[in-house]
Amino acid sequence: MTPEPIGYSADAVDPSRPVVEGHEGADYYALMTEALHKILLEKQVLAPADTDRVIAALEAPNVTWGARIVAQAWKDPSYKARLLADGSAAAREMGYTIKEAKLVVVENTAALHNIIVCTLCSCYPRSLLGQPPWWYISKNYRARTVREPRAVLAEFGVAIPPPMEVRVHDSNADMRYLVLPKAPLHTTERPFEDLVRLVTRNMLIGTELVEPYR
Amino acid sequence: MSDNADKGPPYRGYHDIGGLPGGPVACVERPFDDWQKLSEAIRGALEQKNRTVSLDEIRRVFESFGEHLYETLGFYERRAEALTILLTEKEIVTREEVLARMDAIAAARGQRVDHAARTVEAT
Repeated sequence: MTPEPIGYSADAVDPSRPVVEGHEGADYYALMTEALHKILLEKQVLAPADTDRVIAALEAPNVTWGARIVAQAWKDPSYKARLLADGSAAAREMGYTIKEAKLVVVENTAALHNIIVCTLCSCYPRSLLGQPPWWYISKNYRARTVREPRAVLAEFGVAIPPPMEVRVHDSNADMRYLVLPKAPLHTTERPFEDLVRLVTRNMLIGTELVEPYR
Repeated sequence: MSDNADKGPPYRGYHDIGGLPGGPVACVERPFDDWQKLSEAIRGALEQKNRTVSLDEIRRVFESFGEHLYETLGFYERRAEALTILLTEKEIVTREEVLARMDAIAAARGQRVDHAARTVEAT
């Protein structure tokens, strides 16, 4: 059987045509997934334990893991330097193995705000933070963030003062990004676990701030 | 490809949406549904078993299965469709048996599947 040619579309290259945010078919594909699973079990392509194991691995990572990396970087300048130099190695130091790709950590400062997107697919550091939020995988976020990041950030209630630079990082199959938020004051005196609790998932993507920029 | 060759490079797939206009970002949270988890787990388990499938192959399928499906389906729905297409290509399942099993499961629940509209309704 000859594969169908790739469906390049004239419409998709029309730069004035807005993306279509479809999200149909949930019931249908829930049923297809159930049917496919039953067939693969019957054919003994998969055993029940195979998917159970992967589901456990999908459910294990969570935002706290990323928050702990951030809190460590806020407390320890030498860890922060290692984190910015090699995100994957520094995550491993904290006990987290980034399985899917190289982890690149980008630092917010008084002069620079970073925001992460994946325009082509929805690449995200899943093995550290779990599944991405729904808006991250939406086409509106994927399409607009690289063109008008300040407008997208405003929709999240994040204001970036005009003199600051905004840098957008487009993830891909080989590189996953994590934002190191700008540290609040007095991080050396504050208990580690208090700092961990300050950090939200959106801060690690760049759509929320610990404290507003001035 | 000949149509696109007339337009000249760069050729841009329908999934390559960075920079296109769009509506407001819906800053909402949605749960990771059980079926989405199972669909991802089937792919992951097949990937771990002798690399029966890979994520790159799944991407190749949903980046070439047509703009209409890409625009109308949600993220996990696109991946679920691509997984079935890929397993069909590899002759591990046939689409007919998957659709027939969907009909059988739905019928036992008093539901009917419309495969053209990609909906499941109560009968």
